[in-house]
Amino acid sequence: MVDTATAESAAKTNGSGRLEVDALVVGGGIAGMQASLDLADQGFKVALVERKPSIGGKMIGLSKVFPTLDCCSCITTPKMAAVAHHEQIELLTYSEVQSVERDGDQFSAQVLRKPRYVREEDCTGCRACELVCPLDVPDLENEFGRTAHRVIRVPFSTAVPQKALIDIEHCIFCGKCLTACARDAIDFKQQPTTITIEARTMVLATGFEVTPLDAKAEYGAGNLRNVIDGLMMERLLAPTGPYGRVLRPSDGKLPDSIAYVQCAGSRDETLGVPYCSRVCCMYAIKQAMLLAGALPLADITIYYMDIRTFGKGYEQFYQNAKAMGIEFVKGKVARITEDENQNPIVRLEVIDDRSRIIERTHDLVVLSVGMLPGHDSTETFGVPADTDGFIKLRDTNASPAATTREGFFATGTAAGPMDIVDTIVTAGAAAAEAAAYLRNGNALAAEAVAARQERSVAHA
Amino acid sequence: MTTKTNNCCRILVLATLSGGYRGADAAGQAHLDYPPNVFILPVITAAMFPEEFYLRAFEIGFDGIIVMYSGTDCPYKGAAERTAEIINNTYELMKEHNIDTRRLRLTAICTVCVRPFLEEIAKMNALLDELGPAPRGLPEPEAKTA
Repeated sequence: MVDTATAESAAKTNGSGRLEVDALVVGGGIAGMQASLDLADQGFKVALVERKPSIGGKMIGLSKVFPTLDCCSCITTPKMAAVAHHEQIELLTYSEVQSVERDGDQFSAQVLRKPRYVREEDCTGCRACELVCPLDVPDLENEFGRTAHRVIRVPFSTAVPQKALIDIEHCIFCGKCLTACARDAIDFKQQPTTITIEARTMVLATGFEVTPLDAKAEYGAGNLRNVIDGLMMERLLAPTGPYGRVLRPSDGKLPDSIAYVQCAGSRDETLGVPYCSRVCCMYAIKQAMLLAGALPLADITIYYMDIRTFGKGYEQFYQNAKAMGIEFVKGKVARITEDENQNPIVRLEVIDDRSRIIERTHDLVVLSVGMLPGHDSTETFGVPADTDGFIKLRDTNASPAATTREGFFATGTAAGPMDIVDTIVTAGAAAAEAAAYLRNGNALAAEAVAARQERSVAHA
Repeated sequence: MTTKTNNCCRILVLATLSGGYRGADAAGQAHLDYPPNVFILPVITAAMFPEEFYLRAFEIGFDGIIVMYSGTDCPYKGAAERTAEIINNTYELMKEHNIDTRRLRLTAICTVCVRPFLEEIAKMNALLDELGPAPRGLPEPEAKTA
């Protein structure tokens, strides 16, 4: 690794390789963006570090939010633009925090800036390079390989920042982008650089991953082409999705019969995921309702153990789905196989109907996979994880965002499975607690916790 | 969905790559059609086009112009505000040249705005049915001095 800062990194750090801020927010999904905006609006200087080439996180790829069915893109893109344009926010995309050290009241984070092979300060996002690039590669990052992107490309249409990057592993160095770029922004010699960010507090918004599709051998171990997961279905339903409609992967057929298998990666000791992921019931119901609109003639079935609709308006949403004709079948799916036409066959015991064992054939099966921690917080940040692998919070009753390491706060799905509504609430809470910490140090929060614990002991 | 075709009038759409152009693209992908008198020009941001551009467009044969930008979603800092300023200035110039200001519309169209995209086209076509072709023979815009 060469440790010479690029012009862009140098510009952000005034040439010193060091950036001083009040708060360092790690993760540019909806939680990180909201926490950054809430801190920056209070006048604090914030650095937001995102490992992907664009902010937006998982939410920018979703179709609609439940239970209001508002467009995800329409909620996320204004926030992305607001983050990028905020005077108090320094945005570092395609960057990763490597390590964090404490020095008195200050944290010092080493941040690796990965090379785009395109100079950010020169690229205008005009996409002239994309038009001339002769190579397409599967878009694994955004579309699960269902469509392709050019080797040089702007990540997606609403990406922030609108800067191109080159997939250097697939580049054949034909030089066409070099000649097409009017700004002379292509730089094949770019190297990774490291900058140091000094901050007084850190907000961790490292998000989640989903249970891998191949985690369960009983469900085909990822080998059944017409068995997909919930995030893949989100892309098929999104107006910006790969096909612009819902088609099944094996043959591009419009599916007439779609099934959801609930708890396909949660509440399952065999996967080491004993907890409920809290969002799967609602996203399955939401997707089923959207499918009922997109494919009015399709039969949609949800196989479930329990339906957990705990939030405001969620139960009514569930009842509306039932009224729309979506079939809910109580029973845990034991096995998924496929017939000679690659139609998935679902085998389960129907609990509500004298415990019969049945097999049903569908055109497409969606696994409602669960949430897993997105990052190992212990290794990078020295912030201990809980038994479920998500970041451990100090005292959720008194301080919903403080971690067990002083000065570190966690928000969104970094701290545990939650939906978008709760994520935005916890982002506000993390920003409020981080702001209080910046103003008062940890003294007030520690006093409040100690006082409450004393009262608990007294009551006991 | 079939939209009424206005053969006598031409509509220019300045569609930003991160907003209106994606809306137009999504309309195409959904197999929804719009009339052939619509000419869509993909642009990085409409803030790149000065006031004179619009007058010149009316002069050379366009009768209605719709600027489909990204509004608050615009990834370029200050571009949305600058676009609005340019359009406001253009309205003043249009009044001076006796061009109905309704012939130029600024509208926020996002990547998923398929229906609003088609509605904007239909509205402009309905307006052009009422107004007819734009007046031509405007004085040449003055050359910019350095």
